[in-house]
Amino acid sequence: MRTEDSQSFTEFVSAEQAGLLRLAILLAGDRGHAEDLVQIALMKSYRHWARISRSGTPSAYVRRVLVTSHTSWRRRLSTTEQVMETLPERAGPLGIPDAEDEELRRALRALPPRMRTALVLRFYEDLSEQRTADLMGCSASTVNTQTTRGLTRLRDALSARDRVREEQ
Amino acid sequence: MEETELRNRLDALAERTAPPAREAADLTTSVVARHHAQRRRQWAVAAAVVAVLVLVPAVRALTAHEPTPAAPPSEQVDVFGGPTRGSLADDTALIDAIQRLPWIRAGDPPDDGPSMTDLHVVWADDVETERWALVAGIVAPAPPAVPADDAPLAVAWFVGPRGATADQLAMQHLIRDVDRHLPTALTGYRTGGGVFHSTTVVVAAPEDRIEVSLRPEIAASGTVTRQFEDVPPREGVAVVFDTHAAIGDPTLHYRVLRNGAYVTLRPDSEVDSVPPLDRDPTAEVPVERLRDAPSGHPGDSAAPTIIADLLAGTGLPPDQLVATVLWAGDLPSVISETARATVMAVRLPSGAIYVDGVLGLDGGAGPFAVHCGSELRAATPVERLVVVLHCSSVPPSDPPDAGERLIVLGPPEATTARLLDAQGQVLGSNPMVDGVAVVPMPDNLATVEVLGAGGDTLDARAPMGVADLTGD
Repeated sequence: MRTEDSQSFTEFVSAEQAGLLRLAILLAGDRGHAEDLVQIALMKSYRHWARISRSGTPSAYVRRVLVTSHTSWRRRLSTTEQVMETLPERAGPLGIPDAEDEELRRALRALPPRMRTALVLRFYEDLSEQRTADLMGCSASTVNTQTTRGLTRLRDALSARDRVREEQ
Repeated sequence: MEETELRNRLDALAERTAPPAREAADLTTSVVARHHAQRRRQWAVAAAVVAVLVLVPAVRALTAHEPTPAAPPSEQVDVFGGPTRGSLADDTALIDAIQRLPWIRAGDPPDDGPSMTDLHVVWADDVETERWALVAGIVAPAPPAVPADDAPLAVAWFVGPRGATADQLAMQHLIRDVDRHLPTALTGYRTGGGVFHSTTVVVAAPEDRIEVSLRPEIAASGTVTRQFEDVPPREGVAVVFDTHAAIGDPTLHYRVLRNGAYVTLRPDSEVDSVPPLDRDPTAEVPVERLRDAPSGHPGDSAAPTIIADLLAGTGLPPDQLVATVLWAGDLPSVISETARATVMAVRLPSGAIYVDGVLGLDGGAGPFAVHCGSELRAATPVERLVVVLHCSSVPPSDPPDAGERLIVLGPPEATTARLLDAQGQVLGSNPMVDGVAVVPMPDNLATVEVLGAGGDTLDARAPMGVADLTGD
């Protein structure tokens, strides 16, 4: 990789890392996986960085890689006998969860992965149905169906708590 | 919940729970190193590490066929190329039909699968009562700006009853981007006879040697290791069966030896559609109590999740565990009137102790559990354990006093819990009654010292994190 590409990649990491981690935590559900997912997405993008960065949309590309890596995730490729210094810090589920966050996180994790991905892309990333479909490799109608079902299930899981809070 | 509220809550969840960003240069260095490691040193580096491990046999788990260090392979192996493998490979009509199967899950619209090119059945066989097949192909179109020779290879696992036609096979799992040089594996489950039966299929290169560790081993010291055993593959494919009382992430890990170098991986798994057992294995674990039980609470139903998680994470049968509730009591909560906290110690077959704390709450839609922390401890009498747990059942917008609590447990002679920050400054001292103190969580807490009546330190502990049971 040329020096200017390397610098461009580092600048991208500096500017986008926090946003990628926020997306990853919603998709993956715990910090260890989220960190690993971001590293995987960056690593895959690094291979083609010269082209990606010149295409003018590296952020969209890396997010796409992150989403497809998540949906195809081979659970935590363990390289314990390989390159230890490149392993992300392993972390389990969030250590000290706040109850409201924990409830939403639990409700999200209880959804099938594609349903969860559709909700996160539609309502966190604010992507259109078609754009979400492009990222997920399915049709827009499926995104619509998954989103509708996912919303219903989330509402069912969360509404009881909301009622309690409203009464207080 | 309106869509706007969901957006706001997702924003808040992401903001509050995302891992902290690392220094860009540091992360870049890790990414680049990982890239180079994967591309150039995937096997060579592992070979070097194996060489080190051979010099330290106590560290190694494998007992037979010690590999010797080898020169890096001159060429990478394509695991998914070559002729179709498996006993069904010669059934060309079946293989052709499997190759044409849409990559969709049961219930999905027929046109919902990805567009595929270069499809190839890697392996197809009857496995006990089931018929399995692994198909590889290129997802079209490839992501923009990616050279054609780098287009991601996808694989799909299909499973049906033994002797099934292609139409009777259902896609169980799809991986959109596999490394062509690494093996892949899937663990599938079925329910029967009061247990979960797992079938794990590892597809490696024909010349690879496959070793499997069914589950982690937890020593009396509380350390977690793994023993790997050779599984003779047929044409680079190994099939392993096991039974489980509870399931989560597969306890089985596998590793592949190629040219004297190991790579260790975990299988993918599909658990969402597995029917539940007709028995509750957590109820088969004897549960003792160290202190009197409080009156019943809906959140008591959270306590068995400790045992369920442990059964799933260790693969141990319930009759090998003995649980002790160290303490149970109520913490304030805004979700329900109170949250029931349960701290449990589970003795493992080696004598090691798994300690876990959980909050049980009921917001009206049924009870749910929030885990406070867990740890593995060396074998010791459970009544001597010192436990420090930070439990929270309130959102951060509420005052900490509303629900964040520090739970400190100690032996009967413990009289004081002294709270210290990272500099050793005392944040507070709290009396312990019957070896128990439950206090509001202070800021900047690093350690809790548990003192006896004479001021002697019985033990000092930081709040528990999350135990790693994987053995990696």
